[in-house]
Order: sequence, then structure tokens, then C-alpha cells
Amino acid sequence: MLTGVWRDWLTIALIIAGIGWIVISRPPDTQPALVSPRPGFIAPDLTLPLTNGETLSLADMRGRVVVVNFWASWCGPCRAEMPAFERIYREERERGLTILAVNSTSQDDITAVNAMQREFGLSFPIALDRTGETANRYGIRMLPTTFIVDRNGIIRQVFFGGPLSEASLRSVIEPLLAGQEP
Amino acid sequence: MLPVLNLGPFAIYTPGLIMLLGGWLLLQAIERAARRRQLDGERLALTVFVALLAGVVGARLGYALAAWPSYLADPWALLSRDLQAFSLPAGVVTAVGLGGWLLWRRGWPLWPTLDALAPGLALAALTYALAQLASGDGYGLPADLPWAIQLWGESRHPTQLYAAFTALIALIVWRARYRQPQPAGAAFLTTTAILAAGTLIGEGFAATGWLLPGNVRLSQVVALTILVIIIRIWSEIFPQHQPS
Repeated sequence: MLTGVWRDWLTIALIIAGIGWIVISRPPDTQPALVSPRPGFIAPDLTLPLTNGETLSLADMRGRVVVVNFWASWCGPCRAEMPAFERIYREERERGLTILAVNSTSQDDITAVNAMQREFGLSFPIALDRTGETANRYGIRMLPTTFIVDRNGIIRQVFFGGPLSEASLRSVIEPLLAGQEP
Repeated sequence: MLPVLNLGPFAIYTPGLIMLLGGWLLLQAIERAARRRQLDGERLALTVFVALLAGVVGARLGYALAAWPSYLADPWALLSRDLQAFSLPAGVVTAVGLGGWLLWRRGWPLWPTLDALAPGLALAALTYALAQLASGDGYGLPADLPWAIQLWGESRHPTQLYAAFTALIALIVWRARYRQPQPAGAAFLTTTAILAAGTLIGEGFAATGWLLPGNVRLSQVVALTILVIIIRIWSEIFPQHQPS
């Protein structure tokens, strides 16, 4: 057991070694930004056809806050969260928000996609991932999955599952729109 | 890394599942450890269960408080199923605060109770490390080592495994001394010291976490502080074991 003197020496040794290790092991100031579908990393690029026949690329949206939402028309939670997306898009697009709804067309039906777009009056772009390659690149294993990408193309939040509440979405989007990026 | 587990038509958020299993194991371990120390195990486990539930509520409220205008406009969102809309620090503070208050109010003896909670502490650390491994959070700095893991496009320190390994050591040490006579408080302080030492060392390889000015990791500072406190109070708590 520790006597008073030994305890003091042990404390001093621990403090010196501990502070030394903390200083030596500090992380570098900047870590190189890599492409990966997770928070803190550059969002993998995607170029997909839209339901209106145009083609859209995520790289073209640099400078805007982008919500990339993977969904399917048969997925209940995906359907449930669409009205919230539409409301936020209408209210915030002038401030620089884009919602890009990527339909997993490889496991969906284009007729059902169009019907859903009409049913909910969705005005944001809906991209068609016909081969499933984009979903693979984003590591999608659950629908819906939603990525919040900042103005520099960095993913700031990933939401697995749904339906997402408008408040949760806004809690992440609002600071990014206001320019308060970490 | 496996954030989502697909079981037939079901997609399960793996970290959540790990947390649930870990919580159940933790309650079982605490109940048994309490009985061993002649405490009311069932009652202690119930108190911890209430504290954990309060922690979930606190985590959601903490998250909402940080974005209060959004939640004020849509209060029902407090009850939403958003799995990421939780604040871990707020949850921990709520659970520890409420649990501590309940135990203090009912007059539970401090050190024997903390000893009974010791395996729960180690299991909580193990659960958190495995949940982070599943979600891919808490990843390490790039490393060129034989035991590095491929994550996010690079070979990295498996910091989640370092944390899990530390928790396992704490559990093994606790189990090895389970039936040995120990002064009250020894099991808790030993478990805490092992976890703190592991955090101080292992977090040195982490690429994520809260940073203080100068890129100093908050987790390491807290761990070092805990270790120093334990060394300072050890002989105060167990004076009868000091050599004359």
C-alpha cells in the first residue's frame, strides 16, 4: 500500500508521464479530407438522371447545403418524411438549401415514383439510381437514409431510418445555412 | 463496421441493438454484484434502470435544447424515432445525476454500492466501444501497423477495439477479485482506474473527439485527472492497509 512519500512521487510521475503523453499524442491540426459516406468526410460524388429527364451531379451543388435522401416508394417511413422535406425545401431553398431525393429505382417502379411525386407535390429534384451503384457507393443498407452535406461538400450528419422529424432536420441544417460550420 | 443489420425484411440499427443488449447485461451484473455484497440487488438494478431511462429522456432533451427553436416550433418531434437525435453527454449527466440522487436519498452506503456498480461501469464502457465499432464512430488516426483496420479509405488504429480491450481487462480484473475479501470501494476504484488508464493511452490514437485549445483531447485530460484523484484518495480510503 502507498505511504505518503511514495504516493506523492507516484502522483508526480503520473502527472508528468500523463501530460507528456497527452502532448505527444495530440492529433494533427488538419487531417486530409477523404471521400467516404460518413460525417466529416467528402460526400461521394453522384451523377444521376432526374425524373424530368435532366441529369444532376452533386458536384454542381457545391456552395449549397444539400440533403441527400435515399428512398423508395414502397417504404413507409420514406413516404412519411416526404412532406417535411417538401416544407423545408420550399422555406429554405432561397437560403441555399437543396434536397436531392435519390430513388432506389433498382428496387422500385418508376410509375410508382412519379405517382408519389404527384401525390405529395414534391418540387425538389428526384434522381433515379437505376443500377443501385450510387446506393452502394453510399453504403446504403436501410431506407430511408439521409445525408446532410455542407456548402463545401462535407457530410455533416447521417440519419439512418425514419421518418425524420422536421425539427431534427432543421437542428442540423439551420447552423449550416447560417454559415456556422464546425 | 456494421451500422445496419439486415435480418430478412428488417433493418436494425446495430449500435442501438448493442446498447439494448449491453444495458440488459449491465443490469444483470449489477444485481448479482449487489447481492454478493449483501445489498438489495433487485432494488439497485431497478434504480439503475430508472436512471438509464432518465438518461434516454435527458439525451433527447439535451439534443432538443441545443436546437431549441426547431423543437419549439415542432414539440412533437421530441417523441420522434430519430435515432441520431440524442446528446450523449446530456444523457450521461442526467442518468448519473438522477441515479446518484436516488441512491443518496434512500441512504445506500457509498462504497459498497459503488462496488456493486463497478461491473456495470466496465460493461457500459464495453458496450459503448462495441457500439462505436459498429457505427464506425470514434475511429482512429491513420496507422501502418499489423493490427490496423481498414476504415474510411485508410488503415487506422482500431481505437474502438482498444477501448473494448480496456473494458475487458477491467471486467477480468473485477471478476478475478470477485470472491476475494476486499475493502469497500476497492472494486470500484480499481475498475475506474483501469478504464481511465486505458482511455488516457488509447485515446491518444483517436482521430475524433472533443478537443481543447492546443488540440489536447478532453477525454485524456479527464482520464488523467481521475487517475490522479484515485491515487490521492486510495490511502485515505484504505488507511488500515497502509504499512505501519
